[in-house]
Amino acid sequence: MRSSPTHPSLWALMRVCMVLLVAAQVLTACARGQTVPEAPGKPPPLNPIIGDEPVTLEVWLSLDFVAPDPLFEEMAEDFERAYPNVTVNIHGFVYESIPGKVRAALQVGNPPDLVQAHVAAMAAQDLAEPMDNLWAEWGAEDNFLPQAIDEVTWNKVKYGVPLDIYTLVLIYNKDHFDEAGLAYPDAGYTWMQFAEDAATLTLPDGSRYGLGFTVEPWYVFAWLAEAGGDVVRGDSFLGYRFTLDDANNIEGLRFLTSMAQNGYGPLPTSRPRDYEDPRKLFLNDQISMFFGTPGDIHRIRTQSPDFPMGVTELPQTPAGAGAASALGTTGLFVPRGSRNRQIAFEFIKWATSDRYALEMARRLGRYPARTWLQTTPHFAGDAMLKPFLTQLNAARPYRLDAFPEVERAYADAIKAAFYGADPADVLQAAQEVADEFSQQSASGP
Amino acid sequence: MSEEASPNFLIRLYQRRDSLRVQALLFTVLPLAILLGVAVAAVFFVYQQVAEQLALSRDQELARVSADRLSENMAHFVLILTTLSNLDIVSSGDPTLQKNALTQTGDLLIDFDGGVIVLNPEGIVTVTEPYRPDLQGQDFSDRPYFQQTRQIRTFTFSDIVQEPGPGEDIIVVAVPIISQDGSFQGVLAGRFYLQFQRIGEEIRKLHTSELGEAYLIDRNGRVIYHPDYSLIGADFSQRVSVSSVMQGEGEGAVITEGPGGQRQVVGYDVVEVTGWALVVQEPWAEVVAPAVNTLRPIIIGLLAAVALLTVIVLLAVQRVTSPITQMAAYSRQVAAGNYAVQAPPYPIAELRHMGNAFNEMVKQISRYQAGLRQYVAAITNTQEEERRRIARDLHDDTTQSLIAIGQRVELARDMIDETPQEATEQLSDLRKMITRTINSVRQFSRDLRPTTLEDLGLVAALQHLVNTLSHQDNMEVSLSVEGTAEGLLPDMEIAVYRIVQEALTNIRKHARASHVQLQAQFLPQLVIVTVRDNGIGFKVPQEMAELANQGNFGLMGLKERAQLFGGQATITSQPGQGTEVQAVLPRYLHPSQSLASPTAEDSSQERPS
Repeated sequence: MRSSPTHPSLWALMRVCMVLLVAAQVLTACARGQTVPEAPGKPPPLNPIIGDEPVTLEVWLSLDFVAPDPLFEEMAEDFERAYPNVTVNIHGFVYESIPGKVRAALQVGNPPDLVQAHVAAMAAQDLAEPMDNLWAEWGAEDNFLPQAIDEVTWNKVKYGVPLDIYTLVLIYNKDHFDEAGLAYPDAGYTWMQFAEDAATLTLPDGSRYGLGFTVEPWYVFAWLAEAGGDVVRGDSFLGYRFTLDDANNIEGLRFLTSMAQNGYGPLPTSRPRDYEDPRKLFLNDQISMFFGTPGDIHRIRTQSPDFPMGVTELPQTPAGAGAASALGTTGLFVPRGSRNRQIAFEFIKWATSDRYALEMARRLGRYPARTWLQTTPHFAGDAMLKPFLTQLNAARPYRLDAFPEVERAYADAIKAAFYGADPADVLQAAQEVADEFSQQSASGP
Repeated sequence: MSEEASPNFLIRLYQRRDSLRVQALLFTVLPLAILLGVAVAAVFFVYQQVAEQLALSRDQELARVSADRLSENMAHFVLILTTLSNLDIVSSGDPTLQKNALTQTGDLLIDFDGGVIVLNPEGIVTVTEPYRPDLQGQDFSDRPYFQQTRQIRTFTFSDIVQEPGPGEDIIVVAVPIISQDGSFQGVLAGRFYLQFQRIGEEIRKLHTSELGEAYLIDRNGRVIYHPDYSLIGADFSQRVSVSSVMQGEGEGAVITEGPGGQRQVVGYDVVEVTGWALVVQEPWAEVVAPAVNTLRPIIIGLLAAVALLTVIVLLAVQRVTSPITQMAAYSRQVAAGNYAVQAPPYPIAELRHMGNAFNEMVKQISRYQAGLRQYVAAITNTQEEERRRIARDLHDDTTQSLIAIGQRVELARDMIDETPQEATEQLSDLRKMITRTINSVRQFSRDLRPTTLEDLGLVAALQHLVNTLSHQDNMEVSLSVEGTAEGLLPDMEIAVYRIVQEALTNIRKHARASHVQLQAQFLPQLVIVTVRDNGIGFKVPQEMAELANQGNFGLMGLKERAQLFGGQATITSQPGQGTEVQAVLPRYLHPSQSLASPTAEDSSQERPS
C-alpha cells in the first residue's frame, strides 16, 4: 500500500477538488435532466436472462427497512409475480449485526443471495462479489449520486448498488429555543454558540438537557469531521492511513465529551444502537437538540406531526464549511459465493428503481442515492431535508467500518471518553491498536 | 329479479299454487333442494367438527415441535456460554483474563446482540463485551437470573427485564462460572435486546401456515417475540392460551376469539430449556378454508343442479301441461259445438292416448249429436203427424158425429111437438150416435194412454201387451213375472211399460220371430225387464247413436228412456241368433235424479219404431 500525502495544504487542496468534483457531477446530472418522476414509475422491464428455473432468493435487509413498513415485502411480491419461478424471502436483521452474520454464513458456506450493508466495508473484508460487469450491462451509473457510487466501490471495483444515503444534521426543538429566548440555529451556527445554547437550554432541575449524545462511532465521526478531523485518510486504491489520534479528532471529541461532562446532556448508555436514545429523549421533551439523520426527521414527523422540530446543518467549527458532517449510505450487495448473483442483481435494480425508491423515501424516510434527490421539489423544497441535501455535497465518507478491529478500538475510545477518560489518551490507545492492525494485516494500510 | 318484483312473483306463485307447474316445484324440486341443502349442511358441519379437532391437534403438535426446536436453539446459546465459562481464564475469576477471553471469542458471541457481561460472585458487573462503561460496576445481585444461577448452579433464562438507563427490555441467558475447585466465581450472562429480535430469528425459522403466526412469551405473559413487531414487549397474560400456560398447563390448544373478533386456533407449549411458552395461532378461517374451498364448488354445483333440475322439471311440466291446456281449449270448442277439433298426436304416450280418446270421444259426441238431431227430428215429425191425426180424427169423426148429433137434436126438437113418435125415434138414433161417439172418443183416449195400465196395473198391462202381440201377429209370447210391482212409482210403471211396448213393437216389425219371452223382475232395489225373441237378429252397432242414423229410433228411445230413469238398457243380438233387450232400472229414483216432466211423458204418444 502506498502512503497518502500528509501536508495540510495538499489535503485542503484535495478536499476542495473533491467538493468541486462532486458538485460538478451533480450539476452534470441535473443538466442531463435527471428529474424524479412525481408518480411511482414502472419496475424495470423483464429480463429474459432470469430464465425459468425455480430459484429462491434469500434477502437480508436492515430491520429498520423491514419492520416499520411492508414496502420491501410488497416489492418482493411484485418481483415474484414478474418472475414466477423466483421466490423471494425477505429477512430483517439489526443493521449492525449484518456483517457478522454474513461472515458466519460464509464460514458455513451458506451465504444469502443479497444483503443490505455498507458495501465498501463489506468489500474491504472480502465479503462481496464484484459487480462491475453487471453495472456495465445495466448502464445506470449516471442515475446515482457519485458519492454514493464511491460508497459501493473498493479498489475501483463496484461491489454493490447504493440504496439510500444520509448525513447527520442538527435537530432542535423550536419551542425550547423560544422559551429560552434563543435564536434558532441556522447554517451559520457555530459550535461555540452550540455549546452556549446547550448550556442555556439545560434546566437546573435536571428535567431537560440541551443536547443528547450517542457513542455510536459514525455519529461521533461526523462531529470529528465537522471539526476537521478524520479517522482514515487515503482511498481504497492508493491505500488508507489510520489517523485516530489526529489533533482535530482529539479536539473535537474533547469538546463533545466536555459538554456531556458539563451536564448539558445525559450520559449515553453505550448500548448497541444507542443513537436511538436521543431521538426518544427528544420526543419526550427531555433534550432540546441532538444529531440525527433524515430517518430521525421522518420518524419524528410520523410519530408526532405537530412536534416543533427545526433542522439545520451541523454547527460550524473552526475547520470551516469545507468540513461538514459524515456521509452515510447503505447499499445492496451479493455476498461472495452466492449462487444467484444475476437474479440478485435484477432484484437490486427493482429495489433501487424509481418506483420503489420514491416509496422508500415517502414511507420509510430513507432517501435514495439518486441524482434527482437533490433537484426534485418534493425533496429539495422540504425545509426539513434541505440541510441534509446541502451537506451531501461535502459530507465525508466513513471508512473505518472496513476495519472492524480498528473500529472497535475507536468505539471503545469514544465510550471511555464519554465516561471520563481523556480523549487524547483513549484515541492514542486506539491509534496503537490501529497501528498494530496495520502492521499485522497484509491487506491493511 | 328486482326487489319490487319479488312480492309480485310470490303473490303470483301463491295464486297459482294449485297449478301443475307450482305443484311440481313444491313437491319435487323444493323437497329435493331442501334434502340436498340439509345434506350439504350436515356434511359441512361434520367436516367443520373434524377440521376443528384436526386443527387443534395440528396446532398443538406444531407448537410442541416448534417449542422443541426453539428449545434446542436456545440450548445452543447456553452451550456457547457454558463453553466459555468452562475456560480456565474465565473460571479463574480474573476480570482482565475474562475480558481477554471474551474479546478473543468475539465471533462466538455475535448472537448476543446485547453483549455479554460477567458478574462476580457478588453480582457486580466486572466485564462487558463489547465495552459498556455504563454497565461496568453495576450491582446486579438482585437480578433473579443472577440469584437463581448462583443458587442452582446451572443455566437460567430470564423473563423480560429492563436494562438500567433508558429501560430497554432485554432477555438474559446466565450460566454459572465455577472454578476448578468447584467454587462459585460469578455468572456469565448473554443478553438479547427484545427490539433487535434476535430470538425472533429462531422463531421465524419455524414454519407455520401462511396466515399463521408464532410468538414467544415469557413466564409473566409478556411477549418476547411477535411477528407484529409493535407487539413485542406487550402483556399477553390475559389471553386464554397464555394464561393457561402461566397456570401450569404445559401444552394444549384452544379456539379463541382474536382481537378483531376473528376466531383463531391456538396451540401452545412450553419451551423446555427456557420456561417460556411458544404460541402458534392461525385464523380459523384459514383452517376451514380448504373445506370451504372444497365445498364451494360442490355447493355451486348443487345449486346449479337444483336450478337445472327446476328448469328440466318446468320444461317437463310444460310438455305435459301444454297438451292438457290445449285439450282443455279443444274441449271448450267441442262444448261450443265444434266437432271438427282434433287433438294432434302428442309425443308423450299417455297424452297421445288421451288425445286419441279425446278424438274418439269427439267423434262419438258428433255421431250422437247427429243421431240425436235425427231422433229429435223424427220425434218432432211424429208428434206433428200425431197432432194432425188427432186433429183429423177429431174433425172427421168426433166433430162430425157431434155435428150430426146436434142436427138430430134440432130435428128432434122440431118434431117433438108435431111428430112425437118420430121425435122419439130420432132420439133413439141420437142415443146410438152418442154411444158411438163416446166409444170413438174412448178408443181415441185409449189410443193416447195405456188405460190398462191405469185400470189394471203394470203386470196386467204387460200381459195385455203380450196378449195383443200374440193375437195380432200369431206369435207365441210368454210372460214371467218375479216379485211384485206394487209400490212402483207411476213414472216408473210407465217407463217399464213403454220399454216393453217398444221392444215388442220392434219384434213385431223387424224380428220375424215366432217365440217371444218377456221376463219382468221386480227386485227390492231394481226392476229388470228382459225381452228375448228367436227372430232374425241383427248386428248391434257399437254406438247406439248409429241406431238413430239407421232410422231405428225405437231402440234408441228405449235406451234413452232407461237412462232417463237412472238405468240402462242393453241390446244383445247377432244375425240369426235372435235378440235380447234388457233394461235395468233402479226401483226407486234417487232424489238427485231429474226426470223429464212425467206429465209430458205420460202424455206422450207411443214412439214409432
